[in-house]
Amino acid sequence: MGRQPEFMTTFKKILVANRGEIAARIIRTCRDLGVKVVAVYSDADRTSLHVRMADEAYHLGGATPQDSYLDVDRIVELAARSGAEAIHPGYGFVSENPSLAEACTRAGIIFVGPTADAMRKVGEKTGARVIAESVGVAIVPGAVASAGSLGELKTSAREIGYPVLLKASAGGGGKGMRRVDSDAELADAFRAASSEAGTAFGDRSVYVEKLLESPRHVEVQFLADNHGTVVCLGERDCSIQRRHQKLIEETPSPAVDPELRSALFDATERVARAAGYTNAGTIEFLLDRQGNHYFLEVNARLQVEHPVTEEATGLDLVREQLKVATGARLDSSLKNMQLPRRAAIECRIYAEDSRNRFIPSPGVVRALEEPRGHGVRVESASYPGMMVGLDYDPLLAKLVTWGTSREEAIARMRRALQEYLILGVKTTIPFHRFVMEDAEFLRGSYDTGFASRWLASAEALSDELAVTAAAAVGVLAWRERSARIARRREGAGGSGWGQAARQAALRWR
Amino acid sequence: MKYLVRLDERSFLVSVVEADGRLTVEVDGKSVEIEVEEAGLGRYALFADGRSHDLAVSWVPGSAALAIGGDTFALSVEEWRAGRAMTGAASTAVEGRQVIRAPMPGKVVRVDVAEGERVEKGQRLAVLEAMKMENDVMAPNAGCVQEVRVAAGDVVEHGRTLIVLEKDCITADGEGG
Repeated sequence: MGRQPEFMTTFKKILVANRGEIAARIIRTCRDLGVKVVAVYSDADRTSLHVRMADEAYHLGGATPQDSYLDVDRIVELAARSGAEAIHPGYGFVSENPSLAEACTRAGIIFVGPTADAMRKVGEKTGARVIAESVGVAIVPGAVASAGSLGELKTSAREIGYPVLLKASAGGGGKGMRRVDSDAELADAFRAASSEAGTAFGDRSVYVEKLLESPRHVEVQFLADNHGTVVCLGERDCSIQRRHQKLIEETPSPAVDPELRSALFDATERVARAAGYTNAGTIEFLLDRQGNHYFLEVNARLQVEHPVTEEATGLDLVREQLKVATGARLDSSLKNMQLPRRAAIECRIYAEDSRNRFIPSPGVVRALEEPRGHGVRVESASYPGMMVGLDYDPLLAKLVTWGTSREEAIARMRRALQEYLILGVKTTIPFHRFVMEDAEFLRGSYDTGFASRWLASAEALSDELAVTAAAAVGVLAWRERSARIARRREGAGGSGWGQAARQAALRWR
Repeated sequence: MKYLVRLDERSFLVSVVEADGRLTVEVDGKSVEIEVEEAGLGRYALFADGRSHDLAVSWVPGSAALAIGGDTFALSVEEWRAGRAMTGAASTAVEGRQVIRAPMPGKVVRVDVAEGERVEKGQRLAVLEAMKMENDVMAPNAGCVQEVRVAAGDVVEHGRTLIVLEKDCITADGEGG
């Protein structure tokens, strides 16, 4: 028996066109499969973990995404030159760019994802809405075309009725998204949304849809092979968000009963088939308070939160992606998988100050201790000494736990968050610890407005713990001072940099 | 020995006295029973009031920090002498003068106001981009733009002065509307 599974004889080397935790995650599966990995990096990432993990690594360009991770031609050129047979794009950056899929085809390289054609059909959010409607899947009321001008936007917004949501046509991840409550706010929101969309996706177009008040955000993970098989692998509830970006995801969704689940799966299958979609994908839905579901969009890539599904099903979705990309059939056992199998939950650890409106908190990670133990998985590319800059998404890590019940998964999450230690940058950990104790969350009755309610009630470190910490610092300062006096008496200079640094930090007078 | 210890915006006066080989620690005048054992590089085991804690401290100049209980704080320590006034967080509003500082590090996308311009409370003064999100910087009060210290394209640190507002416009004559 060979070292590789049979389907993997196609690949000997794969280029991972991404950075951070997702690059590390993809590299790990490649290792499991005995495939060599080519990493690419920007000026800012020359020493990043994914570069050090890979077998080969090549420079893309400057730190900005435009100069590096968005440079399709350069990425394909490096793949060809290094002899990689395939490119895995991860999420974000070029992952949903059909021109990468096309450039791959031209260069004789396999793109791990849907075809350029399917991507075009679903990638434009407006086009995806047309497809969903055509197969009888309800969509959020709104426009089906991008707005060409402010005037056009105003007309559509008035037709739909305020409040409305502006969204980037090429978008995802909350970028280029703005809530608008009246005509007066429209111009500013349009400018900001277009500008953000342009920076993030290289496409400034935006469209408008009705804003549902406090909906739940539920998505279905599916896989589709080139032989007509589409399998749904369960839903994820992603309702805990800030600025339209997800913070916590879990499966099964507390809001989804077996009947709704089969309706969501059915809608997912119909949209995937209508678009001729292959490989891994996700379809996002909004649930309103009456339990109606509306198609929102297709994410034509691996999602940030895919490990939730992996922990609940035991599958490796990157492995399945690679398998489908070789043209192999999905295993028939997937079709008959009883869902939900187990509960799983993910907390996204961002370098953001969750006590201060989640503003970015760049800096250097001075100490890091990630949680361990049964039922805990950490997807991370962080290390002590790592610089968290302003160039990219500030996602430090994803903490995922599973359990035989939701309660068990949450208990493990609580334990894991307790163990997590990150020094030097503010993170979302305090927020997650709050959520895991929150009665509303524990009941499962939360919606997309949840995080904004925490913002109002954010509490600082307890007085008791602050006093303990201050006392400890006093003791350490005192010891340092005593040691310094003792050294001076002995006439020993004391040359350690740590000592010098400590003294500088303490600003002795 | 007394120390002024700051954890983010909170200040504590910590007194440490050695007597008979034992340390007596007081925080803001209240006695604290505490033992601190070094566990490794920058890591400590704390024993206080029958509870144990994991403490991490970085003493790197300019960015000293402390982590405890799942949270991380900017840290500063100064020796404190009697008679020295404690200084709190920098005052931002003095006699109608309002200093607008960068709420986060980032890049100035645009500045919407010019010197001498009157602004209303809640009016957007500038847009700051950080990690691909655009954030509006608003006027906390109505006033007159006295100084604009940044321009579009500038990269700013957290806390950097962006704009200075005065309650009233000050003209060359000294007074104004």
